[in-house]
Amino acid sequence: MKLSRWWRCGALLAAVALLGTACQSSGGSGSSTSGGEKTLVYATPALPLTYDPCFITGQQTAEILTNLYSFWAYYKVGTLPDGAPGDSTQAGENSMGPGMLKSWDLSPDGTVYTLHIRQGAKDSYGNEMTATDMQWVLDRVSHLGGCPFVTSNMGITDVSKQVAVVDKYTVKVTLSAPDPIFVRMLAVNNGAAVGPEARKHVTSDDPWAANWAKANAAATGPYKVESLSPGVQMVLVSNPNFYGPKPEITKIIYKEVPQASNRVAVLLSGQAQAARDLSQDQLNQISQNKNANIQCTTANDMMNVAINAASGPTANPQVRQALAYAVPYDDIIKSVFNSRAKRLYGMVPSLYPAYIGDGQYPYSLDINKAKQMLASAGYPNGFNATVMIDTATPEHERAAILLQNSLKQIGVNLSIDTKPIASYTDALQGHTYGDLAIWQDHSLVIDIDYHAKLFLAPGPPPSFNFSGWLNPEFIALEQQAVAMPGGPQRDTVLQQMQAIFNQNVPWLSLANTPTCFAFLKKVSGYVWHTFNQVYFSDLKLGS
Amino acid sequence: MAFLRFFAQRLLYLLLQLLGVVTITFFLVHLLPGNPAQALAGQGASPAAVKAISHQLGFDKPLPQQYVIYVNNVLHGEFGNSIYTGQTVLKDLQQRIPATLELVTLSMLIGVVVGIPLGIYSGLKQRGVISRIVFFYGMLTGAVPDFWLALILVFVLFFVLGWAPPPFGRLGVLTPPPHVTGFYLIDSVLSGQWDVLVSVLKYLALPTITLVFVYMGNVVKQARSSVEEVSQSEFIEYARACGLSERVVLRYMLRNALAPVVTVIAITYGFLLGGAVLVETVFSWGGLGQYAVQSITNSDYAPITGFVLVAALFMALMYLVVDVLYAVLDPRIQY
Repeated sequence: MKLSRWWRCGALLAAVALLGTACQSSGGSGSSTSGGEKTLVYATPALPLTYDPCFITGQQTAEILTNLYSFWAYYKVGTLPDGAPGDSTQAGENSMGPGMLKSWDLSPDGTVYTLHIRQGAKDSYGNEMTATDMQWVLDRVSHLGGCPFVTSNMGITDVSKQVAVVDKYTVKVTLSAPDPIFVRMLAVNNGAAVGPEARKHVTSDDPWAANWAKANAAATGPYKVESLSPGVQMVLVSNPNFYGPKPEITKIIYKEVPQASNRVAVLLSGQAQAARDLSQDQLNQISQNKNANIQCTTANDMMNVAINAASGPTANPQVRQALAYAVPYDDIIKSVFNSRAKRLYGMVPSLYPAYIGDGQYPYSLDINKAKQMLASAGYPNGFNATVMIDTATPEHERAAILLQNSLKQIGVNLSIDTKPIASYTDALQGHTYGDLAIWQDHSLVIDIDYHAKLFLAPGPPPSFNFSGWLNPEFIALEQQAVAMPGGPQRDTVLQQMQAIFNQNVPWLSLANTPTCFAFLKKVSGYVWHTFNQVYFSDLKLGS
Repeated sequence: MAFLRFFAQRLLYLLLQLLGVVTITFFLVHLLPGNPAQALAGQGASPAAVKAISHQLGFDKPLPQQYVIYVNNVLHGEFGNSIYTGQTVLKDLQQRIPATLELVTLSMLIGVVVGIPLGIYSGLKQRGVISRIVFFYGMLTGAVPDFWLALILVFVLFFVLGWAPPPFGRLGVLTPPPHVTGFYLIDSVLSGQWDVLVSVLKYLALPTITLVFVYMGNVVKQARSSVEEVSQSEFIEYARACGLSERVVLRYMLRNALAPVVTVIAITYGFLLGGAVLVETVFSWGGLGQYAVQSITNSDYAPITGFVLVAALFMALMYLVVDVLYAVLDPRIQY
């Protein structure tokens, strides 16, 4: 029949045309260098959701804002213990160097900061940053969204009374007591130097230009936004008004590739030159490729197990100590993180100033000791417990399985409760997870007291004190350290806090975890920063 | 006149359906775990800051009151704002819909153009080789998940063989054509950017092949079974017995067999608007499905309800079109 031939031919032609289109060489992608302009394609699972530093949600938003806005001050870059370049954090406030602020002075009594803004520093719209603008930004930070913690940690409770404009480029901040982390708070991304353009969009209904700042960036950092295609890509180009040197890579294509395996594929094929948010297995795969490498830094990120310290068997500190003796620390580091993680001895990683030292944390895997302690705590036969994990993080599940096997040896039957991210976060912050919950995070400020205030603060849920641990002595020391100037006396208080932590084990310190990014080998210059994000201006792109 | 009455009646039903969808979606979305105010406040925010954000967004009002406000806004054409992008949901949806519609429409067009003839042919020639292949293909499409096929295609055609473009969305890293319709295929032709058109076609190829392969199966199977059924019916035997030509018999047959196929096409098309989410994710397509998933992850309520409403509207319109087409295809149906 004639018609049947037509149908067959039609179907065949359509199929061939489709496959043929698919199978032509792709072209048009990947890095490029033309006329001294260099482009880097960066594969990311998601694009930033906002340009407003007061509403940072997710690591991708944080990464982009870190590259768009200058901080008032930055950590000086030094050498990490493993020899890689990274933020130098050990010297506390003295670790800090200039940013949008050229310099600062502190009065002898430690209560008055005089901040000197760089002259001629402009935002991407061409507006010069002045003292009045900085005062407005601090006021904005003290009122808007998730920002007020920045000013409160700087000892500023009322900007109108404490922050004064001295001259066009000088701001004076008067505190009621010395603030040991004041300058380090000037390097927190939420409080970044939003450009003066934002002030022009203030309305009576929107005194902080929040509506404008969600979709517009008055960039003061090395890059500015060229375009955004929601769900597809964001293009950053070097900001001609940036006060610092022009970055070597002048264009960043921040490409949304939600599927992790595809991020690996586009990197290894050379279509992208950098990729983030990859699992440990994928990092292994990349590290075996001759054209790519991974940059992992084990610095301030931690994986812990929150322990319900308010009720149940785990409310007993002796039970928590027993559990700490039953954690297979080395297995977790080796199996879950492919030896890229390090032991975490206590409440903070070792890069924190006033760190008490590895030797002060008594817990290592000792099943017999764990059994004895559990028996003397009144649980000779163990108990049943649950551990909550986030389904989106494969490392959680692997660590939970190792923990489950190990705790079984002391009679603690652990069931794993996997939850999607929203439920997981709700239960973790609301302290409704049951007995145990694996969590992973880091502090934005490398200070033990700040860290304690964040992760061990007293107060009702929701809070980041996931264990709900309340210890009056610890709280008193923490409040004492808040208002002490940095120095040996404060260091002693911080070490006492760590000792109390070690004694009470409010969480199981599983590992000091790595922050990893993957690059093609022609990309160099990566530097670790405390936010665990890539500063694109650090990178260099070879041919 | 009767048709107009029917049409008006269907439009009224459609409004009621949408009201039902709005109601159910609103309450279901608010039952989702996750506190958007907490997420927005970020690390280190005090409970007071979270409370202030919650108040600012109106989440501290009683749920029924929030519902009344929402329905009132929807009736005025406002779907609210995304709490993250700050844009209206309508604007967000307008940016995303063309990506999804372009992919889904092209896939359905190919599915119809290829699938119907294949189905008809295999229905007519039930013992032929092609018919057996089509039967096997029909079985296979029921078992192959779209995202799996998408991943395999990316792995083989892009990663291993290097023939296909990377899963970089609709256009790789090229600049999109000037916006006229939002459909890159059309816009690149209108602007005369032929290089962009070629690139758009390349990037469309793999996701289109995926959707065509998986969802054309419905069309093929329905066409095949309808033709099989009709070809064995008495009126066809009667037509043949009367000596009518095969061409005329075939026309009679198709007219009767195609009505259920139209239903399947419309349902599949409507489904794909929101149902291609995994394929969109694999290919970083940046369409509606990806937007919905992102909104759910971030507990961004207004975009979720906005998306469901748009998907429901699209589906309801598809049903309406089917009803109208039925009348065209089958004169026995009277309205």
